[in-house]
Amino acid sequence: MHDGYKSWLILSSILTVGCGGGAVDLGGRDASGWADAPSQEADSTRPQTLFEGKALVFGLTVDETTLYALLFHGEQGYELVACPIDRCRSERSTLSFYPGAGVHTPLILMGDRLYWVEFDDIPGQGIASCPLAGCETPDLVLSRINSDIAADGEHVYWIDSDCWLNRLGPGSAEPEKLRDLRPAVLKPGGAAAPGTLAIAGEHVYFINASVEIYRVKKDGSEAATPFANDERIGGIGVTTEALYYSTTTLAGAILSCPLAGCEDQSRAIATNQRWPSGLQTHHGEAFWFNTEQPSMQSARGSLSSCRLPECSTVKEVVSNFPLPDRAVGAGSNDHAWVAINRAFVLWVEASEGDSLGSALRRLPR
Amino acid sequence: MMGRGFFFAAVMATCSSGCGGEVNLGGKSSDTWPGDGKTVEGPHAVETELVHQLFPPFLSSHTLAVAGDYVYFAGWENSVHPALHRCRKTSCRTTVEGLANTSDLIHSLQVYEQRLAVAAGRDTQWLGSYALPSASDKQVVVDNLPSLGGGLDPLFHGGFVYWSLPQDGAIYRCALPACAGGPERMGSWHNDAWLSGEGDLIFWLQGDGFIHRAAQFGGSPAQRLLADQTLSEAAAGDELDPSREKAGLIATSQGELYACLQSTGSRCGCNPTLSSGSDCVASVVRWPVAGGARETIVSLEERVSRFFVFEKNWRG
Repeated sequence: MHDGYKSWLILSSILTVGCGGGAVDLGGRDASGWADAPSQEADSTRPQTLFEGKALVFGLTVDETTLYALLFHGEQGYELVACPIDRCRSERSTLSFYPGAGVHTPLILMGDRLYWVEFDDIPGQGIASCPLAGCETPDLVLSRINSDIAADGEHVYWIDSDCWLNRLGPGSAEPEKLRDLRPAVLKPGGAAAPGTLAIAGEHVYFINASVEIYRVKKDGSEAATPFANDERIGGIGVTTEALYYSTTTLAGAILSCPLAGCEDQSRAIATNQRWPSGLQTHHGEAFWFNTEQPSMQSARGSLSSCRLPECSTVKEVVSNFPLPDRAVGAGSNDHAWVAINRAFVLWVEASEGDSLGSALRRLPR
Repeated sequence: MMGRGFFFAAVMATCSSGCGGEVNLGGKSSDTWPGDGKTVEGPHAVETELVHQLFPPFLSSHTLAVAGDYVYFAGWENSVHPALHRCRKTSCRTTVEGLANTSDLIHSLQVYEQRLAVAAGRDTQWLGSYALPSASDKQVVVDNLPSLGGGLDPLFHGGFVYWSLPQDGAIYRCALPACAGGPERMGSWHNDAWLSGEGDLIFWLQGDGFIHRAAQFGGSPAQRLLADQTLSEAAAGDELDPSREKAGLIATSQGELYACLQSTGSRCGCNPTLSSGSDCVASVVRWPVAGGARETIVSLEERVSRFFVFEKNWRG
């Protein structure tokens, strides 16, 4: 086990004993690191800290009132928590606490359950889920997941290591294998390396090998077809009319494509973005990370947004914070570091100088 | 061979950088410092003079520049402090002085428009310049870049700085002095992106065996050129025949494009990508930058890892 985990356990024990079980106020936070957010009237331009402590926020999602987060506590394993967005210190509940170790994952709220990827290695071990009422041990549907996951309100979708499109519905104990994608994506000299997924209408869109976007019918009834090609595609987001993607380079861009077809219709709507990644769209707005200072020791960046579809003005929502992922260009599920509802945008930050710490902050939209 | 101006292609075989942290000038010294009197063997032999000892092995041929009366060189003064020095060309050993305005580690030096253009930084890098002759007035063109990669020097030319990023597999340019409009992507590369400029033409290699050339300071679409007898343009979609000569290094000067062509020749055991590839055959050739007859300057039965084009009698 990582030496850092041992240090974390020692520090955690000292903190727990010394603080009498969470009674000491740490700048508005309890001993676990959670805080109740001040009222919105306090300062709508200053980030509000919901969590800052010795755990890694590995998954994050929100609905209009409640925050859900998957925290990694080192050797102690994972904690799945839920709390009203304003009262995470005073009204937080632990839905599950279970052993495990892995990497960050999208956390999806669908119906009365939360879904995420359970990793024992790469590819992932399967889809874990837990009812909102809580679970002693999450349910696990086995599948060697080799992609991001996405949901449409009825199913969770992913691509497995055999390059099959899979989905899982509520109450299902087995994944539904829908279509073999290899005939479409595995060209001579090419690579079948599915990444980020997004769902719009009747299609699942996915990035392959960071240079092309395919789409396939959600029920797998038709072969996957190429939708767009570009360089270093780092994320996709969709609305009812368009697909948006980022090119994750120093001179990166956010581009849009009509869902009706992208051939020759790709249009850059934001340019001069630095390695934009983690693109998400929500209620007519796009959000993404820029890596402003690509240091492997303490990469720093910003969270930017713009109104769709024109993206005429790019707004820096929050600037110069330690990015949760230090790699330039980052991974296929960087969007898991951001959660958005109508009122707030929430994001995860790394803790400087602490590889087992992180922070969760928010700003009003 | 010398009809196109007083320029030599200096070929440095095998030792491309490092070289023990010594600053050497060609020409024999009467003093006896460690490293004095080292010679490069063979028909291109020179004797060297050690003028200053830096903390080895961090001095490299990337961090030497000559401007006016001075030689500028950068490296580590000791294991802790990076340093930029200068000395007079005619009496270097006794005139070495540190330049105070640099705390960053300098990765490359180039004299451009009466300034000392640099790639510098530690955890992240910046591209910019200092005023000559005393390295004052630091100006940053673009900063917060990840490592540019060993040996991949930026090129300041024609009002732009050009560089490649291993992380992106891309070549970029920024307009001087402050990168107004942000970095522009100019091309892609997959291996060593040697960059060189002449007039409004920018040349680079990108590991596919072709020489790439883009007019308008890189603003025009790139052409793929063959290192053949006339520097002809490859047809669209053509792949390079593995048996054809490939340029491993390029440089430009005075209207000429110089290239080092490396091949296995008739020998076994040559691997030009390995420093131990001593059984390779190399030749340095040149063409007019717009294309024309190829001229062979020198042929060597050695691997060549770096070469320079410089003015004869540059010591003045």
